[in-house]
Amino acid sequence: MAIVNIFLIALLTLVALLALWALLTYNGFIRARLRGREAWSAIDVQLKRRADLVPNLVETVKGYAGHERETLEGVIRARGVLQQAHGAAQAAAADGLLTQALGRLFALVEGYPQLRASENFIALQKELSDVEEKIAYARQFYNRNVLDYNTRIQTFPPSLIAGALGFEPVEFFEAAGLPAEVRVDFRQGVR
Amino acid sequence: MSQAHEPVLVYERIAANRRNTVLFLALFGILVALVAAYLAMYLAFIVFMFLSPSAQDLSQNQWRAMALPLLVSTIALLALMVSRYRHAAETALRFLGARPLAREEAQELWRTLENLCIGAGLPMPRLYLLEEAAPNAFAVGLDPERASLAVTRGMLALLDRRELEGVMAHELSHIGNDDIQLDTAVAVMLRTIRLPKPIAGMLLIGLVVTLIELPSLLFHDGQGKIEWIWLWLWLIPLYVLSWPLLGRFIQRAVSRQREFRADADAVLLTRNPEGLARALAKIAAAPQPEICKSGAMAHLFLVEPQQPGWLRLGLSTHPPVSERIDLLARMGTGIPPSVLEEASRVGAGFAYIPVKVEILPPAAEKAITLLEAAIQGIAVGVAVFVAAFILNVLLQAGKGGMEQLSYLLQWFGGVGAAIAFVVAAYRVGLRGWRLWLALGFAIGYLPYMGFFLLPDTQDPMTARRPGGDLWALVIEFIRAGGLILVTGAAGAIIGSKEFRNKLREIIKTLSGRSQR
Repeated sequence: MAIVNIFLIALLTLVALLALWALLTYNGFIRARLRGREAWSAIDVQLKRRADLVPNLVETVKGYAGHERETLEGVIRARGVLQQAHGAAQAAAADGLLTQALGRLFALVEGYPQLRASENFIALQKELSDVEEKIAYARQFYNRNVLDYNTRIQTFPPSLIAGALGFEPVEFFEAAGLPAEVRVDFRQGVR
Repeated sequence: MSQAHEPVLVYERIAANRRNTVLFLALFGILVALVAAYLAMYLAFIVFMFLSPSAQDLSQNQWRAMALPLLVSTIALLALMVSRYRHAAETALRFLGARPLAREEAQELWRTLENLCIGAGLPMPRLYLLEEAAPNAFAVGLDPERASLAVTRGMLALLDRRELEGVMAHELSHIGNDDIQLDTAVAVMLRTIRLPKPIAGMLLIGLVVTLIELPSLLFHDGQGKIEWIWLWLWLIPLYVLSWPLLGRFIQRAVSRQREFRADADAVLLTRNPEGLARALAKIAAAPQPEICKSGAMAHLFLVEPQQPGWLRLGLSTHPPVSERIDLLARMGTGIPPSVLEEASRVGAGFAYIPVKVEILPPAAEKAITLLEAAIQGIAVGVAVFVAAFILNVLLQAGKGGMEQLSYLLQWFGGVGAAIAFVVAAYRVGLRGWRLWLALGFAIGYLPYMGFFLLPDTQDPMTARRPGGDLWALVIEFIRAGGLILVTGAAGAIIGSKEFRNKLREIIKTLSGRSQR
């Protein structure tokens, strides 16, 4: 009789402990995911800011170098792609595209000293580089949070809970196919 | 830099820091409560002695007499600590003389900080500026939402953008790890318990002189039985005097390890150890005029600030800068030594604009009117009187055995203490009317212990008058303490500029009249 009692108690304790662990793990997942979402909104804000700067930039350049239509249209197209991107990976790819297009644009500007010296252009340039720095930092923060979250749901044994409750890994803000750190920066010389 | 081995986010560290803060505050409360309770109990004991009709009554009721003041003092202390803690950040900033830094004044710094905050996922702390020539920075606050970050003018002048970025990242890491919560609490609490040097000088002399008395102190009743309870009288002031040292131990324990971690986290944030390493090299090589008016605040800064006087001999609150730079140089792909050497060179050649450093405690405003001087004198006088009271207890305590010698020693001790008080006031940098104030106090103190010399004066402690009334006691205290306050105020007034000017005018008028 006594042995059965002890066994029963032990079993119940074990179950209780497991339940507690499961609860804590689940809460950990939720918190990590929320942090990831918050981090994503930080990137989103900066991407939007950058997208908003583009039309102004294009107009300014058109005023001096209106015939360089190909490059200008490239920038506008890249911006369009960015605005339609869904999810982190797509956004990262679009961001990379926009960076490349802008890089070509700025390389172009080298040949127009009047444009380079114009106040409007310089101000836009400064703001653009500020936004890009912010994007870099926001990406860093976001990816760190995503790494944390993905690690949590993929390590064993928490992965059992994650699998059972439908927690999926989240995308990194990194373009597949595009090296993550490629940043063609012609602007160094212009300053 | 591989991120796999480090906990990616530092929530564990934050939890540890929060625990430590609670522990520290509890420990601190206990430490200070001992002394506060002692003072309160002692005063109550005196009162009780006067009021009780007989010695029998006294021994039976003494615990009851002590219980109430103990309770009151504990509650008062807790209230004080809570209020101090809640205003800790503003207090620290005000004490160090920091003013808010507007965005227009330092655009690049603001932008750098903004970007770093995005990278760290922290809200932007408030920026402050210290008008000091020595390059340094610190962060205070109770949590990341209410954090403040200060830089000195010297730092803005010395460092370039990348280096500033490294320093900001370091401070942000402190904020993010909740280091600043513990640091701020420690700083403010330690400042609370720091005795002004003149008073400490007084107590020290008293302690040294009564060291000789110690054996007779223990055999207080002259019956051959050691009364350990009287040792209490001697230990408490000793304990109080050791607080600065104790404080340094606490500071050191608290801040060393976390400096390294903040450095590492800063590199995680900026992905580049070179900025911070160069900044540290420059700052270490730069000449450091005195920046920190109080040792209690030393651990808040980026690098060890120069501190006034004897505290320089003490323990350092930061690990040596060279060690920190070494660690940074080994991170990532390494830093070429030439870069660091260049930075050191720049730092050594940093010609700082000499800034007049105010070494008086900031609470003492420049009182130039008579009224202000008098009020200041009275306010400080209360503190001095309490110290004098403690000292007197010490000096009277050893009454067994050689009474003549005992009296003589106590007299010398008292005079020595008064002199030490004035000397210490001078060395701390008090000048003008404040020095006169100190002189006034010292002069007022001597008659207070006059009952050692004059046979008819009674001191409150040993002159037990059964059935004595409360009034007599009050008058006793007023006579002794009031004298100190009056002489102190008189000293302050005599020493104040306004008085001297008026005196000069009067003399001029008089001599003018006499010439006519």
